Amino acid sequence: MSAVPVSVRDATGPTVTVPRWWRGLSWRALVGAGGVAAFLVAAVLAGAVSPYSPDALAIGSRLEGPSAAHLLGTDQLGRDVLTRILYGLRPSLESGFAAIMMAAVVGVALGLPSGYFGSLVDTVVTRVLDLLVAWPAVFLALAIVLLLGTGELQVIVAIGLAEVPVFSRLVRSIAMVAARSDHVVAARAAGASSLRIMLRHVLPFVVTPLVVQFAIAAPQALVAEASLNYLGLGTHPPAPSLGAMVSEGQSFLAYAAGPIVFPILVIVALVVSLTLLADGLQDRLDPRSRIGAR
Amino acid sequence: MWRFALVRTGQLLVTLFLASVAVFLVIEHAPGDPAQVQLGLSATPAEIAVERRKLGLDASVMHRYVVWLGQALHLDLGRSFATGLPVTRTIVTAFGYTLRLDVLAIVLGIALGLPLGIAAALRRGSRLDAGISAFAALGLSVPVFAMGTLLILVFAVHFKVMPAAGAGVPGQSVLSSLRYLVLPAATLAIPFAAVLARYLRVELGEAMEQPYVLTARSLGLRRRTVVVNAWRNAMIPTITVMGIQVGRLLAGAIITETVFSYPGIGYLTVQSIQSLDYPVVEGVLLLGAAVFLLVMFVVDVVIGFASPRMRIEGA
Repeated sequence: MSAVPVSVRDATGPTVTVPRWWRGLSWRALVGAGGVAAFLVAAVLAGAVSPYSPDALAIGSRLEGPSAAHLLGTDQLGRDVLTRILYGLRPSLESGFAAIMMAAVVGVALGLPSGYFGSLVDTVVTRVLDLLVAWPAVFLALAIVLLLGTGELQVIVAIGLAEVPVFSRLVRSIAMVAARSDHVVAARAAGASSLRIMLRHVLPFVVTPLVVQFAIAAPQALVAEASLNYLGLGTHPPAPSLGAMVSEGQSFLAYAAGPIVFPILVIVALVVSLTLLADGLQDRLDPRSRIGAR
Repeated sequence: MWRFALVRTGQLLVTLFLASVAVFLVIEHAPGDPAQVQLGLSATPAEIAVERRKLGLDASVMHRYVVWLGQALHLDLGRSFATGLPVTRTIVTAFGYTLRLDVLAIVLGIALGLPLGIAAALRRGSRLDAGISAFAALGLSVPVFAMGTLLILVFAVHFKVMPAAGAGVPGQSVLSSLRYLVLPAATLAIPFAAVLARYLRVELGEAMEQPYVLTARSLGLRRRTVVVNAWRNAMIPTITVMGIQVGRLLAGAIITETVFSYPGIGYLTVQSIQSLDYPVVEGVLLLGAAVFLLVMFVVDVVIGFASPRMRIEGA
């Protein structure tokens, strides 16, 4: 609990030039940030980098190995694997980000009043969230797909919903402490409304832990997105996605390994980058986490 | 302590009840009319109306929920649209497969994670520790479906030492059915071992730095003897995390069993959802929630008995 004032200083510190917390990041965090940035650029520039269309079929050149024309070879329909990976990064990054954003927004909306008011509000919110964590996240995703059909939007909702309890509990625990602190009591005595107190005097405490949690959730969301696409619940073919590429390539494993190995390598590299970045941010922003670390 | 167990049991029952309502409502609002599914596309509206009455679909939602829950409590979940077999029997068969897979995965996971975690904790900062940490980080970074396909690629396609999919034929020898289990179990065991090793490293490492360890060592007790004492304290948080991992095996099983076309609960879940086989979907979702909640409950109670401090939160 002693970490709370530190977080507030960080959250409201001078952010005009380089944010203060950016300095002092470990080299591992910087490597992670670099990796994430590289993948972002690759996804954005996919169309400019690759001479191929991700959906262009070439039946004459199926399941070819890497060559000068196709750097990572072709898949079972003769499509360029590298191009499909670059385009496939887009739904992964977009959905992952959107899902965590959704979890963070809903988590704050539920956790802030839950922690601030306590009592009945808290009980209701906690019970509803208990229901969300009653299933493994994949079950939740399957139920959503059952209701709404397959698609990338459903994947976002499924991943977001599964992450909501984590964010809400985090916000709640901080809001609970903050609601009892002197400056909040003073604000209330001065006649500030509950909404104003929550947004002006409690929310700032939450910002830094939220950033850390956002970073921790990112690799998980990415894995979840790829997994749901592997199960065939996400993008509709022929739209490329890293997870779907692996499941499509699996039937042709005996003939060519490239169409599944390269997407897997990209997923793992992205997850490792995001994890390194998250660990670095956590070490820098959340002093408590350093105790357990080396 | 008994008060805590009682409160936790009450919570479990309430959550189970709410979960059953949730499953029922999801199926209620899922697309497709069960009567239509039963009769096929050629059915006339009149036939569908008759079938709806036969299936009891014309009653109120509340009424149907009570009837459905009553039957579910008597283990009657209806018949599969796809096979016509009783859902309960289908699920029991599949659950048997999943149980075998999960038990082997847990055994493999502990056999791998326990020594790695202890070694890392007792040699913190060494090269061995760094290597183990790297292995654990990598084991957690590779998604389950990717791990599964890579294992297939290496051991089934390249070296041809393991079967790539399925569970073999009925009546085969134990050894040959075990062969079908190895790759999917390893897929589940690797992240399990990684989490176990990571937690043990931190928890046991911290316990070894406590004053009582130093005292015991200064009194001349051998290191091995002291580790046993530190072990008890390190196990409490580790059990919690392992319990959650066991609960997650169920989720991991959905993907792993799909990768290996292994006929367990996870494969059944995905198949039944894709073919809109609602009675089976209801069954697997109910079972999934029940098993997951039960595992969490057992973990909480075990921890409650092991560590008095943890009881306060629940009671």
